[in-house]
Amino acid sequence: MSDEEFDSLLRGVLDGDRSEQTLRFLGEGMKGDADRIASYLDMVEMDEMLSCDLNLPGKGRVARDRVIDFSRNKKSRRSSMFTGAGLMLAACMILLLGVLAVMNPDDGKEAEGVAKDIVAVLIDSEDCIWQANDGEVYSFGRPFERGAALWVKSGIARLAMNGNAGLALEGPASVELVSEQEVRVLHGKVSAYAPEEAIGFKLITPEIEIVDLGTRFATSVDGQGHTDVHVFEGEISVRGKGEKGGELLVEGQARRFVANAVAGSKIKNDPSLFVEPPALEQLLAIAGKNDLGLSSGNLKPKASFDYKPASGEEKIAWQDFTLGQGVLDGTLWGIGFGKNPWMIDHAFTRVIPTVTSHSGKEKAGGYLLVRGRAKAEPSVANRVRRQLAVGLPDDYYFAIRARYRGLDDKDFFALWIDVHGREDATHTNVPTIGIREGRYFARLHREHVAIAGRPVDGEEFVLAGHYGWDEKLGKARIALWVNPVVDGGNEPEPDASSVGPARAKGEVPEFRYVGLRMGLYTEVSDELLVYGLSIAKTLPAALEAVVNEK
Amino acid sequence: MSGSKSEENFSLERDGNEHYVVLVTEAQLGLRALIRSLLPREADVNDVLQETNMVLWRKRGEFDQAKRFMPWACGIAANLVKVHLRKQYKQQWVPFDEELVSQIAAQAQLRSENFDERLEVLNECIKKLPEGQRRLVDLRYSEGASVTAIANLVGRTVDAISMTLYRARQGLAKCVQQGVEGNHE
Repeated sequence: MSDEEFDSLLRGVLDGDRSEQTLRFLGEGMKGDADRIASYLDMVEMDEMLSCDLNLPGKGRVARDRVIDFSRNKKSRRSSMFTGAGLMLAACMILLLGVLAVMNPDDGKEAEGVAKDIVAVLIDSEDCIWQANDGEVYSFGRPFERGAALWVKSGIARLAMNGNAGLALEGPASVELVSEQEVRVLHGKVSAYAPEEAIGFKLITPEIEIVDLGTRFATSVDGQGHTDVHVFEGEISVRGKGEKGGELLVEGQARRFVANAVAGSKIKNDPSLFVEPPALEQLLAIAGKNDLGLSSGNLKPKASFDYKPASGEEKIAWQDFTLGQGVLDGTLWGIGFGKNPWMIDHAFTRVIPTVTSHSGKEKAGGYLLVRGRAKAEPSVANRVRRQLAVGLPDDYYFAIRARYRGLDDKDFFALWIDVHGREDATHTNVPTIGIREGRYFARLHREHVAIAGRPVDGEEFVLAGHYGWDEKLGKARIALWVNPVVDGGNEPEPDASSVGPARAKGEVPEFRYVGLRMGLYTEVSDELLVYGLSIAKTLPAALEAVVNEK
Repeated sequence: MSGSKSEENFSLERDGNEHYVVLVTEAQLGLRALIRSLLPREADVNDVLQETNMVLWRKRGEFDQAKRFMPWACGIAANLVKVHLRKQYKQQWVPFDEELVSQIAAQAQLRSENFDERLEVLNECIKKLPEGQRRLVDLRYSEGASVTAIANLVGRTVDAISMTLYRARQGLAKCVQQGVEGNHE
C-alpha cells in the first residue's frame, strides 16, 4: 500500500467512513509500520481535540468559579470560532470537579479576583461586638470570604461554613477562615458541629490539628500556650504539633496540649465550658438558601454515552457512591445510566468522601448521604432519581447496600424502579424495596406488600429484589432478600414475596428510571447512607455490583 | 492508601486522592483518543473510557507516583479495550486485531501526555490557518457538518473538502507539535 493510499483511507475514516473495507485496509496498512501508526494517532488525537465539546451543565459554586477562572485564564487561547467550545480538558475538569470540590478545600483559590469566594455566613449572634478593621457591624447573613480574619471581642457569633460545618465563636476569640473546610483558631473558644456533610472539617490551633470524623466538639486556645479539645459527640482525630500518628478522641474525652509538648494530657470533658454550635436545621437551611446550584432544576443533560449492556453482561446498571462527589454530578462513574446525571437536592443529598484519621486507622464517610424530609420545606420531598440507558427487561433484579441512622417505626425509604422519573411521582405502584414501618419491605402495589426482617438503626444491610412475571397467576411478582448470601451461584429462597394486580403480560410497562425516596415522616436528622445500588439480570450480579464494587 | 503514609500526615490520603483525580482528569482527552484509535468503529468508546476511569480509581493505590501517569493509564485502557474486543471477536468482525491494537497502544503510551498544553497551542494554531481551511474546520467541528453537507454548502466536491480538511488537520498537528516543543525550549 502506498502512502497516498494510506492517507486516503485515513482521510476517509476521519470523514466518517467506518466501512469494513476501509478499516480493514487501514489496519493492514498500519500493521508493523510505526510511522503510519504515528500518523494515525496524530490524526485521531487532532480530530478528538477539535471535536471537544463543552456542552456540560454548570456545577456547584466552586465548580462555577473554576469555570469562570478557567475562562479568564484561557481567554487568550480562544479563537472566535471555538469560543465556548473547545477544550475537552475543561469538560473533563467539570466532570471531576465534584470530587475536587469536596476533597480539596483549597479549590477556590484560583477563582480569587473573578468571583467572590465565600466560605462562611454569619447566621446568629448574641451580644456580639466585633473588632472589624473598617468598623463594620456584621449582621445576619453577612458572608465571609476565604482568608477572612474574624475577631469577636465579646458575645457569641455563629457561622455556617459552606462546607456545612457550623461554628460558634465565644468572645474574646479570633479565627481565620482558611477555607470552607478549615478554620485556624488563633485564640479563644470555638465550638463546632460537623454533620455528615462536613466530615473532614479541620480546626487548626497553634498547637494542634483537629480533623472531624463526624461529630460535635470544641477547642479553646489561651494566651499561655494551652490548647484544650473536648469531644461531645462522635469522634475526632487530633494531632499535636510534631506528633506523628495522632490520636482518636471519642465522645466524652478531652485533652490539653501545652506548647511544644508532643502529645496531649487527659483533662475532664466539660460541655458547659462552651456555647452551643449551630444546629443541623440551621446549617441545612443555609445550605438550601445558598444552594450550591446543584439542585435538580439546574441540571441539564450531560454528554451521553448511551451505554448498552453487551449480550452476555448480567449487570444492567450500577453505581458505586464511595468515590466522591463526582460520582453524583457526572456520568463518568455510574454504569448503565442515560445521559442525565442523578437528579437530587444537594441541600439534603450529598456524597461524603472518605476521610482518614491521623493514624490512618479510622475512616469516615464514603457513601451517598440522603437525609430525611425537611419539615420546614414540606414541598422538598427528598428524592434521588436517574434515568437508565435502556428499558429494563421483563425480569430483573435490583439491590442496594446501605445503612439507616435515626431509624424509628415511622421512617420510610424506598428504592424504586419506574417508567418515569417525574418529581411529583409517588412511585407507590411500581417495583420497590426498602424500609417501612420498621420492617424491610417489597411491593409492586401499595396493597400488595411483602415484609421481612427488622432493620437495626445504624446497621449496614443489603436488600435485593426480583421483579418477574408469574405465568400461572398472570401477574407480576416481586421477591425480597435481606442480606442474602449466594452460595455457589444458587439463588437462595427469598425472605418474602408478593404479586401485583392482575394484568396481561403485554401491558407490563418498560421501566426506565431508578430512584430513592425518603418518607413523609422522616426527620431531617435521619440519614440513609448508600454505598451502592444496582440492577442486573441475576441475583449474584446485582449483589456483586453493590457488595464488591467498593 | 497505606496506613504508614497516613501516619506521616493525616491528609496524605486526601491529598493523594486529589492529586490522583487531577491526573485522571488531565488524562481524559488522551485516554479517549487512545480508546477511539483502538476502537475506530465502536459506538461505545465512552463506555470503555468510563470503565477505564473506574479501574483507574480502584487501582489508585497501585500507582507509583514516581512514575508517569499517562503510560500507566494507557496500559490499563488498552487492556480494557482488548477485553472488550475479545468479546466482540466472538460475535462480529472487528476492525483491528489484537496485534495491531497492541502496536497502536504501545506507541500511544510513548506520546505526549500534556493535552492541556496542546489544546492551548492548538487554539493559537487555528488562528494561523488559512481562511479557507479555517472556515471548513469551523463548519466541520463547531457546526458538526458532514463533509458532504459542507461540500453542498460551499459548492465544492466532497473529495476537495475532505482533502482540504485533511491538510488542515495535518497542518494543525505540525503546528501544535512545534508549539509544544517551543514551549519547552
